[in-house]
Amino acid sequence: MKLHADVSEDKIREALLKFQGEIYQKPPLRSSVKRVRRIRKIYKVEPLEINGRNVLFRARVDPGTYMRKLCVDLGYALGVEAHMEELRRTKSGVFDEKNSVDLYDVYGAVLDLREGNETTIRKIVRPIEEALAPFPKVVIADASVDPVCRGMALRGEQILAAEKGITAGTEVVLITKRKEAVALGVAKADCKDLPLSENPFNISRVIMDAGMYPRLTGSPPV
Amino acid sequence: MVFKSEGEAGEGNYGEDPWKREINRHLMNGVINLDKPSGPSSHEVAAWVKRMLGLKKVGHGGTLEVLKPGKSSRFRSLALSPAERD
Repeated sequence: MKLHADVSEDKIREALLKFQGEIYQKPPLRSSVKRVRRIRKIYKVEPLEINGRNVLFRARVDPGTYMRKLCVDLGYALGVEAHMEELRRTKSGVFDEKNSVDLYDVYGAVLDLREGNETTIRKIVRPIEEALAPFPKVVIADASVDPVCRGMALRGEQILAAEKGITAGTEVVLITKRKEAVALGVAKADCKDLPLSENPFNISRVIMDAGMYPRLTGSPPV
Repeated sequence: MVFKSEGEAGEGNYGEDPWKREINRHLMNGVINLDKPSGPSSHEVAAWVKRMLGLKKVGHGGTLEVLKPGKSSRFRSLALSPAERD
């Protein structure tokens, strides 16, 4: 963050702390979401370096928090105005800086792959299941995998297992017995009631391609 | 996990271990935690990765940042999810 006038370090630290907690944010003029004031939680703001008008800080925030806006608002709070100079995402879900790769790593792995060596590309491209690790899991019967891939609802009796702690409204990932991700959905009931439900999930996103598992009719997979 | 006491008699052994997918399917169902250089847009970088890997579909997710006219976006890391190769 770059301040537009001088402010004492103490004042800056104080303002950063004040922004911890729930704040209102209105998406900027050029944004892909509706511009209505919304609430986002700032879990933690840590000043890392303050050098004159340059302030480097680390913030842990809700998804959909505009950092540029946060800097501008911090500037208003300090009475001097400010803007965001640079931004770096250090962690998101299971991804963080440490396990990231750069474009050269990707290119190197592609060259290896062209020579028939898959090892490097497999280290760089990770199965989608790893990204979905934070979601509670629901294991579904093999027979219902293909129908779900084709957009059908999942019936409760097709649930083989559901992770404890799932309640109505929990975002879950439907997986196969072999732990392959099938779809993302939102539970409509609590964990123990799911198998009894006619249509226990609002499926929001199908991940697996249709055709990986046999069709309902019992015909063999193509 | 809470297990329902119901066996699955007569079912075949379908699917494949996500960590041992056949390479084309592995790429189609994968994500990259990519440290994007400052300068090119996420959209551009996604397109490059798509070409390099010969994929049909690649998407990206990451930091919310509004591009100001005449100003390039800064450092961002993003995850790419290649899908649907042909």
